[in-house]
Amino acid sequence: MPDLPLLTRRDVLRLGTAVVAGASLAACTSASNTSPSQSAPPTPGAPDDPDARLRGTVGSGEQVLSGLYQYVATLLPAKTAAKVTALGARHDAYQKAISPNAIASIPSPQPQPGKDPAVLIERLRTAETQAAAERAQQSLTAQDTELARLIVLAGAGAASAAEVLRTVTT
Amino acid sequence: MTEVESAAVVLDGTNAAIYAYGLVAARLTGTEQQRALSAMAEHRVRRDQLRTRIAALGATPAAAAPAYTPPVAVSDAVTARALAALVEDRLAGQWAGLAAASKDRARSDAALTAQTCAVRSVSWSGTAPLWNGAR
Repeated sequence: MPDLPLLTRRDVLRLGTAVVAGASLAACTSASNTSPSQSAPPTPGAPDDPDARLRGTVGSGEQVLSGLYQYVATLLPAKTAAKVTALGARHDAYQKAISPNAIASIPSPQPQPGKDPAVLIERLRTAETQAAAERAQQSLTAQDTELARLIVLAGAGAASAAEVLRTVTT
Repeated sequence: MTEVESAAVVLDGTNAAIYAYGLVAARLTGTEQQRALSAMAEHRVRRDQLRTRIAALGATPAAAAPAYTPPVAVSDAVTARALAALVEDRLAGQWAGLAAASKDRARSDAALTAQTCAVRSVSWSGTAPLWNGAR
């Protein structure tokens, strides 16, 4: 199935810029707060955190998913939008747990009225299915076992969200 | 938690799930009963794999208890579905713990099994918990 033109090129560029800016700010903040002690364990997001890049990648992925949900919710009937919004809020929780120092500043793309709700739900379901597969792979590179567990749980959450979306009627 | 400790936790949860699906299947009919029995069969396969894995790690796998006390009383189809959803949700969390304690292929296998349990939980409850295994 071809990818739907849900986001405009401009929207994607704005999302990407915000993610990079957020990650950079998070890195600066972490660096200024990190103890110079050699014996202290790495702080999530700190320069000596071997999982820093992974946290950023997974956190950005969760932010993008959250933004996608916010965008789609604006185009759906109120009842369906409420269900979708509740599912999308889970990605904020995953992002905060996995990449706590990142700044959540993903702007929602501008609404584009006239989209078929069923197509929008299917777009979300596809995104969740892809995220579940990605999280299973990303967990393999985590050095910190708690981070690995959180990423696996985020993947399980994405898989279960895809299952819920399969039953959402518009 | 070490890999063998995590595997023991999942084995115990799997044994409990197999027992629970016996209660669940007895209260369901038709397609739903078949789904419950199919899930039970899948968990039995996982149980045998876990026992083999624990033995390979140098430990003795614990035997299943004669009976388990379900966290919710099963009296009809509604409570049967609730119990099935709960045991699958808890198992998803336990498999995530085993994934974290494992490496490489074993980690990805456990991660995918956690997803399977999470999806099965949703198929019984219709709702997705924020974090699997938190209940």
